[in-house]
Amino acid sequence: MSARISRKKGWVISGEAFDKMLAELHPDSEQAGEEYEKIRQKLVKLFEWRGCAHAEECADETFNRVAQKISEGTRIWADDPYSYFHGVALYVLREYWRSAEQATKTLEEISQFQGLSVDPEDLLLRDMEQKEKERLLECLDKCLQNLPPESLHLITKYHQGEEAKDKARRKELAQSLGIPLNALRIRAYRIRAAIEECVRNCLEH
Amino acid sequence: MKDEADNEKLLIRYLLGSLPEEQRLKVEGEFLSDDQRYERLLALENELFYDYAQNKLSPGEREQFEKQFLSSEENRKRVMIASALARKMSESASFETTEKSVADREQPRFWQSLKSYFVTQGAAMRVSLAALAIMSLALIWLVVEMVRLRNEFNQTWAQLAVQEDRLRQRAQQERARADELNLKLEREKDENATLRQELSKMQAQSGGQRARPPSVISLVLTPSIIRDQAPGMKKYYLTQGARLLKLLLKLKGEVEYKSYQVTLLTADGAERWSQDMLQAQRTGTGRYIELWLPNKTLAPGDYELRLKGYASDGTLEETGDYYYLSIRRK
Repeated sequence: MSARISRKKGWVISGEAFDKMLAELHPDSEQAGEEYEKIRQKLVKLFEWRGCAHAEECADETFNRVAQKISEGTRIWADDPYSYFHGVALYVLREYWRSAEQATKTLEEISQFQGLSVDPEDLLLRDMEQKEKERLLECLDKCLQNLPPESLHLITKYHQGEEAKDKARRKELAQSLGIPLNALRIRAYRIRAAIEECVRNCLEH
Repeated sequence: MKDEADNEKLLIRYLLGSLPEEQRLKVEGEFLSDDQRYERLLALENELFYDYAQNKLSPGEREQFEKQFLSSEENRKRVMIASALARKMSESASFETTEKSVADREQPRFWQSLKSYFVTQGAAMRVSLAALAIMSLALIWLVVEMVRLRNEFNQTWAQLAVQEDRLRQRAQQERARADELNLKLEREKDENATLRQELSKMQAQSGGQRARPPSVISLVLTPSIIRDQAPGMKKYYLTQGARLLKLLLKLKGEVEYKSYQVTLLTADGAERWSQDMLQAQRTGTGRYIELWLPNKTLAPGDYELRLKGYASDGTLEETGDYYYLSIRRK
């Protein structure tokens, strides 16, 4: 049993309510869609960083509640929609934590009935993990081969070496590229994110 | 610059869930409205996964990271990917190596394919290949060692053959010399026998006569380093009746030889007479060599008796003892 955020009683988001919310985000429907995606991603991360195990569900529930307010005719923001979303997200989070506490109690009760010390399913999982690791290495090799050489160069240089020398080495690298250290960090992150995405896609196929 | 570093620390604390609520709300407000701020936070979060994978976090941060992120299956997978990628990057020994491998990527070389092959094989296969590699190395070592031993053996064999040749030659020389000495000895024996017969004949002819001169005269010679000058030199007077001169050469040195050779030399160094295989005799007063000289071989003059000894290995050495004798006619 796990903690889940409950939908607000008696209300289900309709296509019309969703469109109204998008229109509030931006008059142009395409840009409104982009804006929606952007806020959704940020909310998912916010819930993740707040320790929510169901970050996507919590983000969607946040949108539901905002859309409900809008469909009820409430003018909820003027220039800054983010702070409103932020506020609603914190309410959703509190509810999540309450249900999570409830779930923990239930789990404590269940833990009294722990069974076999060596679970056959565990052994199977370990075997699968080993195979998954091998596949991961295969995928990583493929993804690195498809990476532009300059990106591989940058990422290798960024991570190579001792921790104590990380700062100095990265500063030097940023200087050689003629960019601030923060921009270098973002660039390295984008490369890593691209590799990770490539590996995840490879593992799924 | 310091503000930047402080801000980075603050964002990391936010990500690790250790920031007070008030500051947490502030950070969230900022990244929700500021895309750059958000991406920076994403970058820091991503970097935390790599720092965790490379064990670059402090123990406290590590614990917070595990608590904050590792409860999710997705994040555990991210750690795995980060760990694999970090390992790949640390495997590159240097930046140049990485650059080279990048440059070569379009046309993968044999070793790259081989490396890729090893990485993609299962653990059992990798262990088998490693064992095979170790066995191959052991085999190569064995072959090299065998070749080395064979060379050493050949060298020793050649040295032994040379040594054996030398010994064979030496044995032949010794044998030839022994034959020569035997021949000489036989001759001496014959000569002695003739002399004895002559002596017996003479004794028979002069039987019953009194006051006849002795047929054998004995002299004892002591060795000296330099030639004695007359009158110190031992004198021997040739008499008509005497046929043999018995000489007792007193040995001075401590070294004992198997046998001795005595050569009689004239004053100008010409060899007059020689005898081999003489044995030293021990008496109460010392050691002596006894030799018999027929009077007919002696002519008046000064003589040197040179003594040589045969060592245990058969070589003939100077004893360093010289004897001098002056023969006069009576």
